[in-house]
Amino acid sequence: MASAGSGDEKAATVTLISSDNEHFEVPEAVATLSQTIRHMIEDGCTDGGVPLPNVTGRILAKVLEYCNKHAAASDKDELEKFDKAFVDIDDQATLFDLVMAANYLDIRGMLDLTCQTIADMIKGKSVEEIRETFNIKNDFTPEEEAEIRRENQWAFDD
Amino acid sequence: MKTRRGACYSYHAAAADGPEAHRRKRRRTAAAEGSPAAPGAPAGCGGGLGDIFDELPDDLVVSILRDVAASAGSPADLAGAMLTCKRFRELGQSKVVLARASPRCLAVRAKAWSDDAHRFLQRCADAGNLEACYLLGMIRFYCLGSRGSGAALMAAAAVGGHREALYSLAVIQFNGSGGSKDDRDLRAGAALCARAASLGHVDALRELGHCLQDGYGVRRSVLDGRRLLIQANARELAAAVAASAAAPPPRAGSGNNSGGGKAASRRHSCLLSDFGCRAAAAAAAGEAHVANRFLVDWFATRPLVQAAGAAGAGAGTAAVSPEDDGALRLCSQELCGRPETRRHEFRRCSVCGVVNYCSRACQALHWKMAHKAECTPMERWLDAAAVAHLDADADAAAAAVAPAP
Repeated sequence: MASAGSGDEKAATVTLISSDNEHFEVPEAVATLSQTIRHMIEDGCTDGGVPLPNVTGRILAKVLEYCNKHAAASDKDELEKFDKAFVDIDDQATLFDLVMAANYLDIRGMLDLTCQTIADMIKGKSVEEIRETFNIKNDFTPEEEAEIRRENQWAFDD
Repeated sequence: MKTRRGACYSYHAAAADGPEAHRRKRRRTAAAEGSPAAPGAPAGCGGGLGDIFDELPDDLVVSILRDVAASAGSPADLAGAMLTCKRFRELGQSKVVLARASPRCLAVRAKAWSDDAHRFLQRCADAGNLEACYLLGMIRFYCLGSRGSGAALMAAAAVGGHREALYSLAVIQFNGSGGSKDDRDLRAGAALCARAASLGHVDALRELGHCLQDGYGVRRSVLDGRRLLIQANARELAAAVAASAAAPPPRAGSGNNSGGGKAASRRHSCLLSDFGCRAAAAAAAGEAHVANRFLVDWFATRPLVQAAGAAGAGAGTAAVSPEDDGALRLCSQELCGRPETRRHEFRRCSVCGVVNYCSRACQALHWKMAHKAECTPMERWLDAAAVAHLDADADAAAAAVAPAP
């Protein structure tokens, strides 16, 4: 029942080890927001800590910030406000790293939140603006692009 | 399903990319790994940072595109994303994305109708998007004249619990649309109406209320009918209050609002009257369904043609002229947009005889919004006057002809 992470029954914790060898000790209740970690705890293989080679320390810290808040608070408005502030990041790379981490750790709420944030960044922009924002290379040939534009003209006329 | 590592790069790079992808990924993680990965992968990314989406595996990109589609305010949101690069275009056509396209994402405008739009809606319908099934069903049934496939699509949406589809099918059953007068099936219509009403559809509630009051397709029960009518009004009011509380301005991209604009100028706020109390804000806020807006726009610019093969009067099937003795009419409730499918399909206002409606719900709504003020038995008066005039003439003529006594 209690994980092998520590001998203390009351506040069972588990140690998470990031790819750059930072150790984070978190209560199980918080860590189990991640389905991946929850399964590992249930399977009893958290002895000595859980290595997470796909997640850096910086990102893991942010993830744990999210998990701590959502494990503790229950007020919807408060959580909403927190979520909004959480994804209000200037750095795109961090946002995308969070998506990957949420996917890897299987944290449903965070995955939905970050994906929706990126979706909101895509909506409402013109094609060129989207390419510019995310540095997407246009790999259509001019003919292909013209044809696709024609095909989708019905969507754009405003 | 593609694997997470490496496979997503196959669009960009010519060579198989396992080790390269791995290297590029490790370039982005913390430097502790220590590998100064060569950024030289000729994988089609620009110089410098490269395409940030390269990091993400396909299933995550699909999730993001799905969120774009589900929260899109107009078709341009999704189409814009799909135009950016080949990968997006391909992934944006996956069923996961199309199935979650929001109603506003599917809001094709009648002016922009084309084969491509048709194909898009078809793909969404095939992916299981109920809204697309309903919209395409309405378009095919009323605008393109293919009754069978249109009804089938609407039925598919109805089976999935789409309440507008249930209500539209009820209207079709009540009127025998697409067939003859004998094809009307009142009991089926009432049953469909009941199902839609149980899901909270306001027009269906109203329609069912009137049916109960009149014993039309169901056993007559005035009290139950009245109860439903009041319930419909209450729901409508609640929706309007909620809409005005949230009060976002209608997006410029979501189709024209000419119908809504007209309605907005007639704000009524009487409560719970029998004739339907639609706070005009509801319509003005664009709550008129995409399908109805499409129909209104479509028939605003195209003449109503009597469909070839429609069981109506025995006029020539090649008749294209709208003046073909008794043109098909539109429902006089301006936001509805439904056309007749045969002559004299809709019922008229019994007082003035000028307007006609596809359903009692439309009649009730239009009465409150406009018709109450304009309904006068003018034709009857004119007819009566003409008859009186003729009689007077006839008397005079008879008097002139007959020898004076």
